[in-house]
Amino acid sequence: MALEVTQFLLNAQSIDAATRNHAEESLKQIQEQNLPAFLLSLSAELANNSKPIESRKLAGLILKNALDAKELHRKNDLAQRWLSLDLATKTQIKTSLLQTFSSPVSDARSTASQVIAKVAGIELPHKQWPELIGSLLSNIHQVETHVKQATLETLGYVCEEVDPQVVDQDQVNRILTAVVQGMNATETSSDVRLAATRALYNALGFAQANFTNDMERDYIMRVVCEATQSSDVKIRQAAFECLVAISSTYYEKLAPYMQDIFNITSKAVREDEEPVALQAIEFWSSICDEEIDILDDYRSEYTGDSDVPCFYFIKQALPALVPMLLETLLKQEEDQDQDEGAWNIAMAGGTCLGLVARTVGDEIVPLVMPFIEENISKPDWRRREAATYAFGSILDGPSPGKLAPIVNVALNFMLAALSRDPNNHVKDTTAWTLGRIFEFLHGAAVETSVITQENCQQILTVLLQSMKDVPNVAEKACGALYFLAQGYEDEGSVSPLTPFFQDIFQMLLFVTHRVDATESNLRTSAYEALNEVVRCSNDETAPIVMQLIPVIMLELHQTVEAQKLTSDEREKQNDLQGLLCGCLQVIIQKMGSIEGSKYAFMQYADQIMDLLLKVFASRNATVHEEAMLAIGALAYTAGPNFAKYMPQFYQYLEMGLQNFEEYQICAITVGVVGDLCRALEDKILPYCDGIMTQLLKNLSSNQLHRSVKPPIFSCFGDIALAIGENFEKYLVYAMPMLQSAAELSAHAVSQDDEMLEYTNQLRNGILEAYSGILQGFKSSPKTQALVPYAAHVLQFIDTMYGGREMDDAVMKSALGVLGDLADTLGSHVGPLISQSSSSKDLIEECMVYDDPLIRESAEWAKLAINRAVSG
Amino acid sequence: MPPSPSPSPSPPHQPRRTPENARKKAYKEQADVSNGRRRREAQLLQLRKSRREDTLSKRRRDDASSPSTEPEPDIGPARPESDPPSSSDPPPLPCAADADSSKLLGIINGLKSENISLQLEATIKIRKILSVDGNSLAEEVITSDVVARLVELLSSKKNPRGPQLQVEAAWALTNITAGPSEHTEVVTNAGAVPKLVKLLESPRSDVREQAMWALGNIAAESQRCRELVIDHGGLVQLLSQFNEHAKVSNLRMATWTLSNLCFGKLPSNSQTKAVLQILQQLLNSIDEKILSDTCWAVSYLCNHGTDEIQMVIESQICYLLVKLLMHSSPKVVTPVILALANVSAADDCQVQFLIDSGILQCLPKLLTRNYQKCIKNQACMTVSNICAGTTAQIQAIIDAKMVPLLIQLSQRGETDIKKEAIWAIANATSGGSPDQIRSLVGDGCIIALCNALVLSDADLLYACLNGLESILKVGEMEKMKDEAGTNPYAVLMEECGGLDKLENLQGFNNDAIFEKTIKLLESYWVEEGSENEAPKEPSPDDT
Repeated sequence: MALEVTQFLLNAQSIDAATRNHAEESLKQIQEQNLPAFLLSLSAELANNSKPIESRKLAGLILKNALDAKELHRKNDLAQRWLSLDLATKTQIKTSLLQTFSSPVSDARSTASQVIAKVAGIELPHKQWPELIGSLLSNIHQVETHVKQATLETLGYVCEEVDPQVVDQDQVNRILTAVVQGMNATETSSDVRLAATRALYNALGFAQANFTNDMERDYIMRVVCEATQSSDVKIRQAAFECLVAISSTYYEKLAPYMQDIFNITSKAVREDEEPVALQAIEFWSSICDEEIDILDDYRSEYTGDSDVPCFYFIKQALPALVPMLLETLLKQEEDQDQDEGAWNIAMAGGTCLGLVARTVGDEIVPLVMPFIEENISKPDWRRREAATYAFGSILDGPSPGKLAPIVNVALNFMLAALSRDPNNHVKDTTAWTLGRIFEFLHGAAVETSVITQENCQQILTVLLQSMKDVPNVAEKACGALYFLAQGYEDEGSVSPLTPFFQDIFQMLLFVTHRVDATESNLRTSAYEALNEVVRCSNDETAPIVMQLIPVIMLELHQTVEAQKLTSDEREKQNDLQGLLCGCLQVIIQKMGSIEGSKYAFMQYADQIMDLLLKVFASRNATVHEEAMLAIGALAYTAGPNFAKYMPQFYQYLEMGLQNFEEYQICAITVGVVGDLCRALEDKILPYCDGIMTQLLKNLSSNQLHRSVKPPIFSCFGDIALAIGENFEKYLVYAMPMLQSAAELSAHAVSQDDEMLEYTNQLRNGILEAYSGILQGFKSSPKTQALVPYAAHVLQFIDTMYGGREMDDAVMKSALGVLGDLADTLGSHVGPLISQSSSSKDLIEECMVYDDPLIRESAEWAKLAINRAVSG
Repeated sequence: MPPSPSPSPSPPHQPRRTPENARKKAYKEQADVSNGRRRREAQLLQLRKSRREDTLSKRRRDDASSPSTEPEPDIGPARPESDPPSSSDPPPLPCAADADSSKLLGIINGLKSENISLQLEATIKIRKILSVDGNSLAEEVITSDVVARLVELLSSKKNPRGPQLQVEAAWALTNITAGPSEHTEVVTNAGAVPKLVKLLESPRSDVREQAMWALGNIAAESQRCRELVIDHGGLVQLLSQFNEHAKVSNLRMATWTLSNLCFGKLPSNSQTKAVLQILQQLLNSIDEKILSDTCWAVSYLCNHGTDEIQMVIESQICYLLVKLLMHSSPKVVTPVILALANVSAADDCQVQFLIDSGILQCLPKLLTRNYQKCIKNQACMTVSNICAGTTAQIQAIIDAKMVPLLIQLSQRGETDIKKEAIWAIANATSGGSPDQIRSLVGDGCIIALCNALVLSDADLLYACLNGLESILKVGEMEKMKDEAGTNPYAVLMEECGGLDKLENLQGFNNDAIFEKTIKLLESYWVEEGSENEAPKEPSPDDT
């Protein structure tokens, strides 16, 4: 009963909008009226060799989109919808799809491959379509090359789509055998060989068992290495991609092959075409990633151990690897620093060199220094740039003790190069290197900073001067200033930057106004540098920071007044507003933290608030986030005085809470509600009905991103603490919500770390809500209203305690709630708590806990409970 | 390919495919710069979390019925006790004291790991074990390799938690150095001193403060330890802590540590002068703790000899000290009077400085009001030292109307003070001019001295006899004016029972006293009427 859809599919690609819209509308109607028939028609269309390729391709695409979506909720819905279709329809569709393999039209085959993979992604985990792999593999011995190719491609897609666990080892073996055979040099068709190599890339995750078998592993590795020598560049690239994937998936199995791989990669880096050479470099970067992780584990895990041992491949390869990478640095492209999309051998090589430095530390220094010394003053700019880039790349990794003497010598040279080198590329890299010097060799954490009171002035002069240079150089100079300022964060009132604050602000503001400030991200960098200088400033410079406020406000004012902008201008305007709000946030936070400045700052509060309200009129998500953050900071600084802004601000608060789409805004707004509670205390009461209504709505919505829900529970606690017994009227709504969430989270089985973390966040939010509510009601005549909920709260804690998956934060919050129950409800709950044996054990257990904060909470809880039980 | 015999038991490790984009981002990455908003948001979140906790804990404490619910704060070191040079004990803190030896092993492993979190955790635990008096584990902790590791951790480098680790390691060492000498020796042998001195350059005030505390404890140990600290530049670094930016808590600690260093003689006069320059400024402080330790430091310096005293005088400190005698806190007055008592024991010129600074206006108040015994004692000793000076200085005592007070104290004071008062009277009478002696006798000195003749302190007895001798000599001069031809002072002595006491002294087992007694008896009483037995040294002006 296939419907005739060809015309609609063709029309849907028409250049005429009316035709297109009509066709799309019709397709949508058909889908809504009869989904099975619609999907059948699409699969029939795709399989039908007599149909135009355009309609076949679109049919496949719509089919694919009917099976999968990026957004997780939708993805699950679509999978459920497919599973609930009747068996006959599904079988028929799948048969059509497999038939398409024999089509001579490669686009049709390729589209069918992708759709098959999506169906497999849904069905295989449910143990459906068990014959798929078998029937695919039965094609592998077909003579026709295109069928073979399509089969291998499909196998690759299937492997990409499904979890390795859902495929039997027996089938895995057969897939791998087919794929590796397809890659073999004896395969005459390079299309087949390429498809096989790409399929292996996806199938590697399935080969766990095979990689533990020496013979099988040797075989796979040999085939991959041979493929890197193919005459077809695409095959060579795909083979190196496999090597890269193997390097991270099977790092611990690589030792026997490293010598060969080094030879292969170094030849490719030196001689092969760029896409291949880039993958060869990537292999070493990936090995660095692995070893950095392992060595981190050695240093940081409680066991001081790692699942995988470090084989120190990089250390061993170092004497040959470093010269190879240094050579790549000389292969720069002109203007690569102005081109955002640029990625070439020199960039990849330098990035890899940086990773090598982080892996081996001090050992890299003597290997790189001769290169730097030889090239840094050469007339050829490529040599100077390569030398500088090499220097900048090795600043993270080696010990400051090793680097400081070199940097002390190099610093003046770098400053001179930044101000005088004729080449922009060299200056760009020099400014970046200076930034790295400040990041890694300067600051409170570094024993002897390379920056002294004396050279600081010279450094600043050069950096500020460079901010007038071309945008990419100026941007790097801003970044360098950022790290320079950060290094003085804990310096107290003796920061050497203090005398230059005026100059710094003046120059950074000048940069933000450059006509070319949108190039190379320059404006953003200038504002970020400004923010960091403010953030790391001290009491002494507070008056100068204060002077920034009217300047920033004026700029913000101009952006809100601007009229009639093109969409392009509008976008730039939004970016700028976001930056200005961010800057205000930092300044407000700074001024609020300095007792002497707070009062002087408050004279600007009205105007700032006025501006922020106007900014909320903008519909841009980023701007809203920034403005909300600024409001949060302002609320803390203003305290109860913020009440006067509430009537106007409230609508935006509500808007933020309703923004499910841009859930980050919703999350930030929930946080701001908490800020307001602490700032306003009971003055927030008039707005609580509205806020609580919205928060309860948010909790019951399954559209809202789950990460916002734990903060909402915490927010209940904030509100209750602010308004005390006035929270009574919300109990009847909030408590059941808390109870059911508690129920859910207490019994949650966490398969993975991410889920476990979320569960703990949720528990923590719930406990914070309980604590806030209990403490909010303390000493109120209405505490009785809470007594009925006590049993459930205790049960929640008991269950979590029994489950043994609480993290420290949850443990601490749980202890707090136990104490709060006793503290607020006293003898009403004394017997209940006494019966809750596990809670008693929990407290005892925590009394001897290592974390002093947890012990403290336990002691407090114990004391409160003792009082309640005895009183 | 043959089928594999071993199905994979564990889920395979998915390749971490670093997409080219991620690598591209790493090119000339200025990581933080590109992520400003998320970072600002994170900062606000952090702030929010701590304020939420503050609000809650405030509520939890808000309960009149349970003042004890406030948890013991686990904050930085409490101030050391101010009785230098004894080492100070940090207050016992809540501690995992129940940790048994096997737990200790785990802690030591953590300490030795390369991971800063583990190091920090272990160091905190060790510090707490050490902070509890009599913890049986403490002895096990204070082994050379644990201490050596703690010393290593003092130079923790680039890590945001490095300074915290430095504080904890220095704190643990502080606790060790608060113990017996052999513990402190383990610390100094491990090379802690140069590293602690180095920490005084830290930009972080908490790090500096804890390092000073540890150094202060070490300096309190012995002269060798003090020299060790000074040789490694500790004194110079310490003096640089006194600047206008320093926090009060830092100044307090620095002053305390400085005072401990001053307990021994400083290697050079230039160092003493540099120290005095700082101390002179600190004497204007309004902080009682700083004042007190400053005065202790001065008093130690004054203990080292007349050179130091001369430098103290030259740095204009005496006047400030005398002013501080009237400070309301005994914690300040005690070291001040100790310092002044030391100065009063110096040469006549130096003593004159004290008098010129107005000390005699203050001392009577100290002696008559309700001050601690040791203060009164030292005040009285100061008076007696002045009395041992020139006639002009004795005159100043008389003019300040202190003699009746001294006589009163010599009769009714507590034993030590009584003795000092007698010393003062004995000194004044021994050294006074005839006129002064007449005045002193008029105030009742003879009775006071005679009453003292029953004491057992030979030096004091001798001084009293000397005093009485001077009096009797003046009495001889009176005898010539007297028609009856009697020595009126000898008569006075007889009347108050002094002669009997003098005669009893013939049995005192001390040659000098015996001879002096015989001499007095023979000169003024034996064979009365025999003109030939006139005193051998009758010249009244011969003083």
